[in-house]
Amino acid sequence: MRKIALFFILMTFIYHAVVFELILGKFSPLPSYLLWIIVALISWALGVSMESFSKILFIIIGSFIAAGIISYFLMSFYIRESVVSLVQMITLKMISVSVLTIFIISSVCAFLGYMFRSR
Amino acid sequence: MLSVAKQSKTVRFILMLCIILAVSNYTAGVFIYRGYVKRLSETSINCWITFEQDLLRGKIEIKPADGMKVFPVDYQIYFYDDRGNTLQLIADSLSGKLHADFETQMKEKLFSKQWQVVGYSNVKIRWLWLSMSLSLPIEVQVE
Repeated sequence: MRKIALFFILMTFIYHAVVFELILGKFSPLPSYLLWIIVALISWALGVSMESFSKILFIIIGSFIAAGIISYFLMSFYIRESVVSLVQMITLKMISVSVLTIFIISSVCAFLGYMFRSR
Repeated sequence: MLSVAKQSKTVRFILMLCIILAVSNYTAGVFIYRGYVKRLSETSINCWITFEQDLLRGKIEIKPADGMKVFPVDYQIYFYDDRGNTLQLIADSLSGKLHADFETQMKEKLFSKQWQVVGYSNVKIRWLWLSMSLSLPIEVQVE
């Protein structure tokens, strides 16, 4: 139970960090593709350290939804000064596509980690 | 295939490395973004305009926030009436100068109509590893 809660918080944070990187990637020191690799690695570690795949699915889907809600409110707090809605609309479409890709990569990596762990 | 103990050790090491990288990247990004916005709002571009008979005299002064490099490219000052038509436009290049003076003939339309004035300045900004081109508004004061 404790492991599930810890991984839930971790995955929520990492999905939120990815959304932050997609919107304000210019301002953070590491490049964006490194964060995608980090997401894949953490998902793989999640897959390795869980006993059943249903728990992994619960963590991934639940934390993805939680991170979406948190990102919505936190990002509108971070970028409250920018009022150029047109630019935001264009970038938001790109962001939704990227977020979907990240979610699929993360699920596949968790499944691979679950499949090829050593018992 | 790795043994169970060895694999869990590797997994834990990779997990810790990834978490540290992600957390440091995220916090650095938040602080740098907020610092950038704060410095940008501290940067002020002022313009004072005085009328002498049919002459327009103006003075432009750019005050960058400390630590941020500002390279002004040009300025544009628009006089427009209440329907949005431009009555007169004053524009010139700045090419890095933080002060500028101008003196032009005033157009006759400005005498007869009600008008408002706005100004913009294109600047290049450098701070840490960031470099951007922005259009900043000029605070115009008419005396």
